[in-house]
Amino acid sequence: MANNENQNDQERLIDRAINEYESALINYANSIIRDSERAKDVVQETLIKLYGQDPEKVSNSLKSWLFTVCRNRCFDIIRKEKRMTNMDDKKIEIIHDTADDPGKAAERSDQRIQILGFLDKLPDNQKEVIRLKFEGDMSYKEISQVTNLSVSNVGFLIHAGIKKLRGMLTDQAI
Amino acid sequence: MKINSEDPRLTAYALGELDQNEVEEFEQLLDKNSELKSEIDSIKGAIDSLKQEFDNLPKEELSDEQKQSLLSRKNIIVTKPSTFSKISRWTGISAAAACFIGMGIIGYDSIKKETDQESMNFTTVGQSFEKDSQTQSLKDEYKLDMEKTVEPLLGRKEAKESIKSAKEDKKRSFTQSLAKKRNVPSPRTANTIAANTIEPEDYQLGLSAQSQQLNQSIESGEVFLKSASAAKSLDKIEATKSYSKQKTLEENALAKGSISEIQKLSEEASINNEQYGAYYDSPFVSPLQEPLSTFAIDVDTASYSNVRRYLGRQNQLPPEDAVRVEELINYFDYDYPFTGDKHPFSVHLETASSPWKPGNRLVRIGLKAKEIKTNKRPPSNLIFLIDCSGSMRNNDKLPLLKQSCISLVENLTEDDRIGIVTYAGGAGIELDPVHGDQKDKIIKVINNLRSGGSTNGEGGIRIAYDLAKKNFIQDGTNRIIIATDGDFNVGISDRSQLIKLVKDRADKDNIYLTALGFGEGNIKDHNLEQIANNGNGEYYYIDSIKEGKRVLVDKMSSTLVTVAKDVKIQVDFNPRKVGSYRLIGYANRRMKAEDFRNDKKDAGEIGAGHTITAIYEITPPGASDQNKVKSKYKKTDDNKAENKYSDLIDSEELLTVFLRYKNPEDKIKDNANEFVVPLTDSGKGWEKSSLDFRFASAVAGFGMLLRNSEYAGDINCELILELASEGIGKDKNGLRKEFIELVNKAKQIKELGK
Repeated sequence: MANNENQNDQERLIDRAINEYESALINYANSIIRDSERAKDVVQETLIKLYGQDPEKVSNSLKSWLFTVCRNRCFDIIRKEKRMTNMDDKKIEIIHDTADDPGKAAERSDQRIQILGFLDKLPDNQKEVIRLKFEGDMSYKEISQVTNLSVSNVGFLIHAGIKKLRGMLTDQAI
Repeated sequence: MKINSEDPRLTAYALGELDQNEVEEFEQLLDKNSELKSEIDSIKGAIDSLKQEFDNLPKEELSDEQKQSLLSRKNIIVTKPSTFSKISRWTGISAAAACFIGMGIIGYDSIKKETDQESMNFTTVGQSFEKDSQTQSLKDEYKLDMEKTVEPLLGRKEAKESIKSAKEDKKRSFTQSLAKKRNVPSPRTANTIAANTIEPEDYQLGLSAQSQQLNQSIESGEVFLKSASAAKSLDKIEATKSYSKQKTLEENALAKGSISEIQKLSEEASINNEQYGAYYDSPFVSPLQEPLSTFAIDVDTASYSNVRRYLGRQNQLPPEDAVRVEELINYFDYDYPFTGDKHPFSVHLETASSPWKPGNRLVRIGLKAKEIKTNKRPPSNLIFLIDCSGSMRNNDKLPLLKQSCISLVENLTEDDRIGIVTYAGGAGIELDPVHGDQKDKIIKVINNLRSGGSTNGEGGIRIAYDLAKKNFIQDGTNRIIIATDGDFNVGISDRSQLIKLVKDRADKDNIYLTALGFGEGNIKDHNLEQIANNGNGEYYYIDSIKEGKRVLVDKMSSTLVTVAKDVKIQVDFNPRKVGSYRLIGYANRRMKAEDFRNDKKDAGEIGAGHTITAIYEITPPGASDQNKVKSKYKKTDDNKAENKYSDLIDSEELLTVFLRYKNPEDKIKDNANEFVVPLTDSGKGWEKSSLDFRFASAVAGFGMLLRNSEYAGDINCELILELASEGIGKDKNGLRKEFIELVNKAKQIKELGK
């Protein structure tokens, strides 16, 4: 087994992962777990796991692989933290407002409240696939791989989500 | 075929997701319908906006630290996916299987909590053992065992996910126990994970046949075992976790009955995962080179209780770096009176000969902060931030913490507010802040606190600060009290970020943070000290109920009420009277001389009633001019007396002490207050010194002895005992007597070691 070759492929894989997907992954993770520090940790874990993968197998679907692993980790974290029974939604909102998150701050600042600002108002499933599409630049097929939804389901969610966003935009304009 | 605005093909088309035939078909339909055309345009507009806005978002990046740790893995050769970390032979394959079985049953929930964030504390230890040949055979054994026990059935899909995670965590916990066993200090950042854990996740993207097979065996494993309903209690699982090996070893040793055996093992056990910063004693310095000695005061006492824990409970000498001499000295109360003048604390100076180095002098600087009567103390807004990870189960941890908290609660009033936030093992707000008079409710919540699960919490510390802020009491004490055995996964894994947060909240919101350390084997002394320092609070180590009461009840006012902050001391030595000087302790509190008047520099805080002591040792002038700087480029290199002192004023003073402090409510931009106290040497011998002087020097000597300090002169246990007994004074709380017992203990241990 040409270990050296493997090693080089691996390095290239990691480099590619970092160069192309680092930012999108972090934002994606953050959109699920809502903690930018943890989001970065999740992404780092994901990248570390990449080391354990055979480059030959992953290389063609690197993006899906990365987002899938990242997603699973995020949902694991959320599942675990459901135990926070004392926290009602209102409180969660308050805390998030005080978290330092440049992306969020940008989202909140008035100039930026355009369509992206309404994204958070969508139901989770629509929000997620839209993020994967536009930020992750994924095809319906890739999205369906990552989320375990059918391609048509993905299409439906994206369509409905965009429709709603348009609606919110026009409402605001009025 | 009709299309309306609900048809997802509209968006699919706009996004280019339709394939060729679909496109043709679709466009035909569109042609006939102008409404839909405009709908498509509108959709396209939305798409463009989204794309644009996503592009305009700031690019996110991993921190430099995280990147570093990623890149450092590049050199590790990864073999096939199913690599294990070395499994300790000791825990045995059967124990491993039992663990796994239990885990499967309990579900990944509690296990994941335990190992998840803890796994983030790994070093690359696991990886380095990969190449071990023993590993290979262990790997095979393990695999065989798994397949044997789980072969009969085939997997069911619903079990799949939880198994994957459970198995992943199993590997992590092995690596962890290995790391612990191997005496490897955990890294400071929580951002490394053993990379070569087996990857059970099957993301439909293909795995090696080997691991897939393993996957299936595992899936079937859980199913098999669930139906067999093996009832393994959580206790047993916990028992087989990291500390089990140590405990069993210790038990064996006890059976053998030899002290040295026990010592060695407990040494192994306790130093296992504890982390201490490196502290360097100050050397003797000549005032001709450096006349100014500057340091930040410190009231932490954790080091003393920690040393007490080593000597008293574990019968061993503490690691040198666990000994911070100033914390030992400051643990005790001294009789400095508060003279009530315009400053919130008074200064007392005393000189005498050095008991351990004839010819040298000791200078004791004592500060006494003004007292606040317990019933006059300002209202407190306290948020306890409690570590509820699995490791907190031991009696000397969560149970002890609970008792200490309850003691505190009993002394609260309706003007106080208290809340409880937990992290690790199900983090959240356990008690929304309530008034201090609702004692029953508060005590009930405290009693119900449970440890369990991994060390991983969602925003524990941020939530705590937010709660504190929400309930902020103007002109009161607002404090986070973090209680932990060392695990720091409070929601911010990057330590520098954590420190920044803590510092910001102290500076901007006036919410301070006090750290309480518990237990043995995991205490991250340096981290706790650092976070307390930056949070403008103190660090205490609670080794007994008595200590818990002392810190949270007896000293409650001092702990909670700050009377002065950013307190710095600068001592100016007169070279005519001082050959060289040395500050005992305060190793990590020293400051640059020029920072004394830099009011942006954070220093130490003094609580109501606190006493603080610092001791300098001084060599007489002319004797042996240590640190004499010789240079061939210096003009007068013969150092005749007249030359040396030619630019010095004529003064009989030994030194002058400058003190600088801010009032607690002052902001960073406010100027500090400063006052000055000169001192002339009394010339008296230590036999004539005050009782407090003798006792304090005993403690200082003891500290140096434990650190094996090269500056300790002729110090030995007999001398320390003599000084301490003479200086024992009233000793109202028996703590000085206890100190003498500790010295005797240390003496014993040293003799045994010879």
